[in-house]
Amino acid sequence: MKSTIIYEDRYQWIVFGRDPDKPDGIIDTNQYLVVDGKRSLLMDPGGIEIFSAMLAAVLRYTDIDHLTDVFASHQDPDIISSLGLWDQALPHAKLHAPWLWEGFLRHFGLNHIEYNPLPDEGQVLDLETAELVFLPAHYLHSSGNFHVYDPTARILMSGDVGAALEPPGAPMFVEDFDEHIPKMELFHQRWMPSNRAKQIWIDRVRQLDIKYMAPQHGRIYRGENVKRFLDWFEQLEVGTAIKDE
Amino acid sequence: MQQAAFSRQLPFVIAARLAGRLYGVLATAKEISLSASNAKGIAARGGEKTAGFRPITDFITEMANDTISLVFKINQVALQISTMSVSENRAMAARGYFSKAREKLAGHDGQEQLLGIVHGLDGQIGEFRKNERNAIDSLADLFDDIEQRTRAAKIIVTNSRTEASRAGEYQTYLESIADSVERATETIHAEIKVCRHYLSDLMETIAAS
Repeated sequence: MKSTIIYEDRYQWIVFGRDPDKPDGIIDTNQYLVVDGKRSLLMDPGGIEIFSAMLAAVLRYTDIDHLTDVFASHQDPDIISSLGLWDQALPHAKLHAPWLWEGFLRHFGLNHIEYNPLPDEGQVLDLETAELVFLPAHYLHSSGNFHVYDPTARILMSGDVGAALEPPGAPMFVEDFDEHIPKMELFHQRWMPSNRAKQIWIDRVRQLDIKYMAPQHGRIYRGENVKRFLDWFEQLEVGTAIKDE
Repeated sequence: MQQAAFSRQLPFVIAARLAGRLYGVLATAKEISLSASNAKGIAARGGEKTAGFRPITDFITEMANDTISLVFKINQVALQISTMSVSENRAMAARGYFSKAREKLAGHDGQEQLLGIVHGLDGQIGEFRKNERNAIDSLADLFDDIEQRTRAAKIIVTNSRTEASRAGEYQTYLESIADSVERATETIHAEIKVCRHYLSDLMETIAAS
């Protein structure tokens, strides 16, 4: 599992992905970790198939007892099907996830970790020094969906928004935005169901100061590419599986 | 051939199949209970001619009810085994994932931190196996109990035929009831035999794991 530190000051943001040992046929995912002294937040920890690699990678940055918080943006298997294993590893941790999915996520096995049901309007999580905002992103793509915004690090962990489908081993950052469009176009047209939800999210995100927009698949957007992505996404018609009669 | 097919399955699948098979035994035990009710009616109408049949019908009813209750118990235990086996399987899978993470952490403190979790899972797996073995032993006892009743039922069928031969115009009815109890008893015996195959396969699979 490759790891890259994308922010380092009083605390760190680390992205994990591009696991060379990942079994063929499963979609590549990015996992994010904020390490803040004796508190850490692991975001969208991934599926069962990458659990061992993820756990080993995470423990290179933090002690297992300091891994106190886990976040699931929504209920998909590539996001959190490893929950039953994290539940064994982190019996005293807290899972922050949409209230809507609590009864569903518990099917993955949740006997120890405490479930913090995020209300629709979102919530703030204080670690030791970091203040992280669980930002509503409902219907993007899941009906109960959140992103994580860090106003200090100016990072938006944007879940499936900004995701791209790429061959294994793709670079971690978008360098040429135009060249990147074909890799993400179908994903957004097909996976995102609502133009209205998309516009509400764009309006909300435009008010934030964002240096890195970090999706759960594909590459991270930096600087000017964040704005370019928002402009591109705004004009994109989504929910394309529904054809007009 | 059937044995060989069973042995490729996981314990929770075998236990669930065993539980499913028991529905056949249950249906047959209910048929016996119905036959006993019919026999009771005939015995009541036949007065002196069928007097010897009355205690036999009581016994058949008791036997059918006991069998039904035993089947419920067996079903419960079989499902417990299946559930425990699923949990064991999950714990073993989890152990595999944690061990793999430890390998990746060679030379790092994290390797030691995960050792406690692996040991905890070993403890859980050991506990599941112990409980599964105990449950299998109790299943074997419950099967013995049912078979004891089917053996007794065979003797009762013989007695029923003797009593039927003295029942005058009721003879044909009572003989047909004796035949039906005999058939049902044979069916239960055959079903239990299959269930015992499942049980021995379950024992072997768990012992080998």
